Amino acid sequence: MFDQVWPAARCGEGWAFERLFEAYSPSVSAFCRRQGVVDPDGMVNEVFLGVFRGLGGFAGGEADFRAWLFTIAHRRVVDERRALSRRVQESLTAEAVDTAYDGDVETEVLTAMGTDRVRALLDRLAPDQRDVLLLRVLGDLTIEAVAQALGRSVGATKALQRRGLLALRKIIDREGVPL
Amino acid sequence: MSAPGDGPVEMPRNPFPDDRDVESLLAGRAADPEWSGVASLLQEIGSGAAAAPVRIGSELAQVLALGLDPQLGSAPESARPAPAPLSRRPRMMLEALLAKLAALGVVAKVGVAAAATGAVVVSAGPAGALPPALQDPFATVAETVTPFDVHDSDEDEDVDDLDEDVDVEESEAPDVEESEAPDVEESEEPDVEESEEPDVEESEEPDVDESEAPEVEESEEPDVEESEESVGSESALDSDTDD
Repeated sequence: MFDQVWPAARCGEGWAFERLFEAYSPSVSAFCRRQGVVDPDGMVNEVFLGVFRGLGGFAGGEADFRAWLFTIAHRRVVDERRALSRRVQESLTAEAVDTAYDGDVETEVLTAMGTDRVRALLDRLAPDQRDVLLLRVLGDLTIEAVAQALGRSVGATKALQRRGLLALRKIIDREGVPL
Repeated sequence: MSAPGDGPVEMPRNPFPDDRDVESLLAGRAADPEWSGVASLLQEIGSGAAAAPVRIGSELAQVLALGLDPQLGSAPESARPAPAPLSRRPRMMLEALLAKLAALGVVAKVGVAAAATGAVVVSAGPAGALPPALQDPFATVAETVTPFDVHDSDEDEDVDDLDEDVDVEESEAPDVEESEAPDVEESEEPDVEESEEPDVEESEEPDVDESEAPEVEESEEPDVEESEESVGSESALDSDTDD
């Protein structure tokens, strides 16, 4: 898909933007939600607007595009994290509101509960450990790409990944599987 | 040969999987059952990518529908509303002003009309740009109310009369003559006479007259002529005196 859409996207074609958005926005949205962003949809909109406006200066393949996309998303998350650290954070409430979509009420409740439990688990990780794991799982980035996105060395990124996984295992062993 | 104690030694169990197993773990598959809980959690995290649709804002919706100018990174020209050309803006301002005027009451309209008329008369009156039928009453009123001598239609005739009747009064209203017949001594003499003769009426009116509109026109352009012609006129004067 990417190879067919990419040339048209570089020419500014709206239909190509739409294809890219359909393909990548769910994972970017999940990344923002798992990070506890207050307005995940708003951030996804900002990320894709930035990507589409910067396409002219980008060169690379699908993996590079994905890495670039999630690097932008990660920077937005970090910016918000810094801004929220100065204020009282009520992101859990915002998350519950944001996930309330049309559909089956029971499913929504279970989804919200599951989301909250996963979120609560992830919140117990150090932010940089969470960044690494979410970029690897949701962004499907290699350890090298994650290291580049975070501005760290590959070794340091691997260490963060390792510590994050160990921390999750310790929590799960102690408290049971969350889902 | 094996040394004593070289039997199958139970290696200390590595609590952390190797790189290949980590990749499987991140994909939601655990090679080691002890990591199954982590694997299912990571699988649940990954499945969140297919969960909720994203609400698209108006700006992004416009970009998705219309695309972007690849050079500028903005919406194409056809997609953006064209800014109003400059020539239309004064017209728009005038229309807005007229709309506001139309919304006013009768008394307010009369007041606005009177103010506009007054502004026109006050601005055009001192310059003598009003029609004679308006200029003379304006001059009368303005001279009564203010200390200024306002140009009226009679002054043109007076100037013509003065041109013809060159006499003692030449020093009071000689500006036209000065420009036409530049005499250095004459241009200096009236000032001395005016300052020496303490006649209030004569000293006030001509002074204002000279400082106001008629004097400005005559003092700027003809002065240059005077200075240019004065060389020739002085020599002519000299020649006259010599004669």
